[in-house]
Amino acid sequence: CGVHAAEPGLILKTTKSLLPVPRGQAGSQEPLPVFIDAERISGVEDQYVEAEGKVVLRRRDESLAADWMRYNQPDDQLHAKGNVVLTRARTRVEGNELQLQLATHLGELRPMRFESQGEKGQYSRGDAAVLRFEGEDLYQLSTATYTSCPVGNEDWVLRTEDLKLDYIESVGTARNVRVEYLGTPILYTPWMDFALDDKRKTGFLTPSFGTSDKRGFEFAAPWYWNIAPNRDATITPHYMSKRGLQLGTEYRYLQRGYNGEINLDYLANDEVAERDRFFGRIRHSQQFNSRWSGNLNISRVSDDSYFTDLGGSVNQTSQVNLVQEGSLTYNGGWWNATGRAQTFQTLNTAPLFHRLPQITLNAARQQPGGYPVDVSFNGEYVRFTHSLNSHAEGDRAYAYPSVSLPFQTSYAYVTPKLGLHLTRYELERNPSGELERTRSLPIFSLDAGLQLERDWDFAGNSFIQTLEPRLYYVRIPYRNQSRLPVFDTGLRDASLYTLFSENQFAGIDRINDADQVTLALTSRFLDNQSGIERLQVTVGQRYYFSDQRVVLPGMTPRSADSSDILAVVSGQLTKQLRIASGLQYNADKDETTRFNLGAFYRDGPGRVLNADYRFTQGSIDQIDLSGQWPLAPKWYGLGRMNYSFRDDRIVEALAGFEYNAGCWSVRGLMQRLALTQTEASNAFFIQLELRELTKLGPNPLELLKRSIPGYAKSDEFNLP
Amino acid sequence: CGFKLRGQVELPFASAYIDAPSNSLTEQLKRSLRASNKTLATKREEAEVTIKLTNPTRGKSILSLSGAGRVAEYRLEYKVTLSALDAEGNELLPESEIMMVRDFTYSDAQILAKENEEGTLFQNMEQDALRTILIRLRFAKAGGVAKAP
Repeated sequence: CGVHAAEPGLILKTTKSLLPVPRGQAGSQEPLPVFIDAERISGVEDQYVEAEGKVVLRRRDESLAADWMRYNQPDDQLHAKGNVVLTRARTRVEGNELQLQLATHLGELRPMRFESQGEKGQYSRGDAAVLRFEGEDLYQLSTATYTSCPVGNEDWVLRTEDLKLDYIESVGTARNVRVEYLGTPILYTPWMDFALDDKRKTGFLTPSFGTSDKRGFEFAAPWYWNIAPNRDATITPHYMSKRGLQLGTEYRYLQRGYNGEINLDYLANDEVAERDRFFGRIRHSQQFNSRWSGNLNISRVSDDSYFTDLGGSVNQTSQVNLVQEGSLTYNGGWWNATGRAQTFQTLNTAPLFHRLPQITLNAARQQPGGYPVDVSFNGEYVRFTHSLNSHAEGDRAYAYPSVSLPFQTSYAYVTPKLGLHLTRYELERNPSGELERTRSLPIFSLDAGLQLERDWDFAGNSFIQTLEPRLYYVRIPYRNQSRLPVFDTGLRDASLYTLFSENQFAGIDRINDADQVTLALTSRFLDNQSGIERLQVTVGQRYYFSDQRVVLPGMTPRSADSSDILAVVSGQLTKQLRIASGLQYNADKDETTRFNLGAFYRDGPGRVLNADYRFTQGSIDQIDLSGQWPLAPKWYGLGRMNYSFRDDRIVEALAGFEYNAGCWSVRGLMQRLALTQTEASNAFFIQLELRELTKLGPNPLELLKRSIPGYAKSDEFNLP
Repeated sequence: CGFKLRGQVELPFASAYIDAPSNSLTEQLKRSLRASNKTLATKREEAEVTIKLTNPTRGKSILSLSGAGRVAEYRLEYKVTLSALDAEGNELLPESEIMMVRDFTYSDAQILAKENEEGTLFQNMEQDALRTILIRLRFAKAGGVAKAP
């Protein structure tokens, strides 16, 4: 094993190793002192040592105990009988009779039982008719059993005719394996191998069973392949009774300088759709050097209804636009440039503009040459293409240089900024009008704020309360933009964050005419000791001094001379309770435009409750309740209900349980998910986890983590 | 009502070394420290305080679905871990995660505009994170003193 000595992977063998025997002269290690303790010891020098009565042979953290022991020096044979107990680190092996040649490490112990306690409390035990020592760090067990259940509990047992444990390569191999669960055989395999390393085991992950109306009875048995420390793959055969056998593959790699992931899911001859179906994705990012980096993100599906038919998670079923893009970025410190090509595959929706290519250049310098000004530059060139003639196509470029003059003290700041926004369109096609146009807009803004503070005691706690008024003025003249195309521009959400932007449109196809001021007031309550923010309250509103003239197609200009009132309240009120609430209120019409109120309670892992109400006028009116809670000893309830009052239907519902018996747990889940306005999918999953034998696959754990914020697997915080 | 203009007492150190990957948050922090007349050291040993910013991560998750199963709102998350040490390596600020969250409405038909909006929200969260970092740094000394025997 000297060849492997330098490999870091071998550090692993300490925990689960069965090797208990002192091996001073055996290896190349220098001899360590051996202590023998017994009621009677006799012997002849250079011939033999014999000990009787509570014999204990000890070296460092290893020991061997027996009723009787004899060591023959000429043939290097150790013989022990009666209550033989070998212990090393966290492993204890017991047997009746041991024969062992110390130098070669050949011998046997029969019959044997073992118990092992891992570093993180992982427990396992088992027995065998015979344990054979086959050399340093190599063992073979005949007619063996293995379980992680405590003594006296046989809830699940793995039985094998022949088990080989190789702690040099950290591999175990078993033949004729049978797994019994509650006395019933549930799995048989003629052969299996597994890693003895605690971290990433090559082998089958816990299979999941389920039924769903779209796919019928389902069975998925992911197989994990630990190729190298920085590369792995998961191959998942996924059988669906209504559709056939899908093969899912995922390959991940991580290297200094680059990393990525490749997925390919393939279903040959879907029995319902009567065609081959696939989903493929490549994600790669690369840091060539400190300046250059690149990204690739390409995904594609065989057909429009792939995700609604075969996707199991919301992340998949909600997707209608799949991106294909590649980019290259140069980071020059105070400036950076990116070139990107981007196209989309759209599923059951209208096609989108492609950007082939998009080149951006951004730069910012503080006080160049010692002058007290900041200068910045944003520029972009894009060629937009679209597959439909009803949409514009052509080139757009803009440059936006600006200068700001920041004044700052510890309690106040004022930043006037002046810029010139220049845009040039050169189009081949434009249904809304002009093919060529240059637009130039001077933009002026003034951002000013004040910081006030006081000490404040409340209910025995000391806070620093801040008061931060902020004023933001923008002036942009009007330019008629109604005949310009709309490539990548939309109205931003009104929020306390966007109230402080020059342009209310995201994208530059429209730049608003503005003569407006935003006033906002923030008050924070900071913990006097740590500075941690316990509560934040912000209120803001924008006031317009002129009427709106620039609009997006189909949009009516605003009539009011002020924006909606916006308010946010958020904070970690106590160690357990966090709240977040936002309000957008239209004072003219006395209407709520947007509102949300959420409370999130965490009382340690496994005790999580979330409640969130969300309202957006004309689109969202829903409540989302989720939680994980202990119902009884060993039982956890899991649930989520996301209900849309507006549509009067369930968007997503989840109900399930987790039963944790200590050495095994079972998880059952029912899920209902809205796919389209009329369609929904119903699914049921069940999963049995045998601790220290099976490792969980992504399903349904990912579903739980996404659906119940704060969810934790019960055995992650509940070790026996 | 007891409010006062925030005084000059602010950051309890004169020089700082920033131990963080080069990104726009780091650049903005350096600028703010320079603006409050702090010396930025090029070596850890030369600074009174080492400010560590680790694991800046950006996340995006579906916040709500329309009744038709399409994404109606996304939640954006920006996280960074802050800690501060003195020249001897003693902890002035224990490691703590600074997390900013923004929710925004989404429409599949407006993917490009929403990408622009997402970009500005991330910039905005970075600025907010910077503000929180500067507030925490004011307590860098206090925490250390409180801990000392």
